Amino acid sequence: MTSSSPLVKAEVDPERRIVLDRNPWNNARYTKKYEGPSAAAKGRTYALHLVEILLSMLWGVL
Amino acid sequence: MSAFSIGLGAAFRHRRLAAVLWLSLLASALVAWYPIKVLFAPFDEGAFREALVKGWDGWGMLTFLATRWPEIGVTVAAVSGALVVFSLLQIFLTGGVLRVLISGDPRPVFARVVAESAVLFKANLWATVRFAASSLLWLALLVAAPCAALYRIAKHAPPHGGAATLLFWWALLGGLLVLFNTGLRFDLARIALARGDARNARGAYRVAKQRLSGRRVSGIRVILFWLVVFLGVQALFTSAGLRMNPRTNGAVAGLFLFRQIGFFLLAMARVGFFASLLAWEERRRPAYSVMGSASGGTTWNVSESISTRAPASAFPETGSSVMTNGSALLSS
Repeated sequence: MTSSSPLVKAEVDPERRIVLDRNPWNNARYTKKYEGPSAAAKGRTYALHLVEILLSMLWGVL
Repeated sequence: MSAFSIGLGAAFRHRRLAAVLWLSLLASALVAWYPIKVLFAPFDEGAFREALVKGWDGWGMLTFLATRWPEIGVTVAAVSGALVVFSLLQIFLTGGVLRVLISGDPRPVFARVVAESAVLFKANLWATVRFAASSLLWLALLVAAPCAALYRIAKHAPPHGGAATLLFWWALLGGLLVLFNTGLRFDLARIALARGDARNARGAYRVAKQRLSGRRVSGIRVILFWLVVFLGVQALFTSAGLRMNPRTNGAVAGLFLFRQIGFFLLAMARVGFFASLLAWEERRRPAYSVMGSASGGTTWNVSESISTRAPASAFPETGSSVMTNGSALLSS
């Protein structure tokens, strides 16, 4: 496949038809030129909030 | 003025105190930040990036959990560490928070909280150990033992019947009732330490028992009121945070700020709770004039001065809070 646009992402099985894939997380790779929103930042933010919720529940005890 | 309105007023007036508590929460959570950062790094490299930015991908999250066990284990260990750090910080800070509330001065706060907390830390730590031990003992006697007996006679297949229903509700409500009782006495013991009514945890627990005598229900009402406020704020901001579902990096930063406002309000609720409990306790203190009098209702030893019994204030010029009998809180 050829294109005039720069490559930013390559993915195998994009429609996820291979259900026995042991690790679908390694099916795609992004180049550093990709500037889309970060899923990692979103995941980290929610995880940090979850930790803060857990900790703040201790205010009910201590 | 009721103890509740005094608490609400103090929650808004002592915002700096709430800021200290909020900072302790954020700093403790950041203990787990690096493992969280490493754990979620694959979100930007894998096949589920766009799906997770848009919202939720059940298959992606399931396979993520299945393939990232080592990183998840490290993160769980870091979160456990954060829990320990936060617990110690709260045991440390509560004494200082109470002394600042008793003094009624909204500022300076940070240095004073740290200094007063350091003075009271050892006694507060022993009070916490006593709280944990008494909670476990009463939970075992009043909840676990009856539940074990009910478990033997309950039917464990539908229809479950009365014994199984009683088992469930007794485990839940009985457990809460026991924790409210032991928690109330623990908080009153810490107030006794902060006011200087006792020198150590044992003495503080004795003073707390005197304050609680015959007034447990109204004390538990104070706890329940602030628990409802606390859970309401927590539920509101958690639900709103999940609904926000940010899809840009700027929106993620906005979500972080929004959620911190929620945690700051929780810290304000904690300040309000302690202010309410101080006001509640203030009204149940024996007046100085009747201490050791023939009223027979008190066992206060007036031959020993308060200053010698109390852990010294780190701010002696403002440590008169001990001598004001907490009136600063009520008058402000």
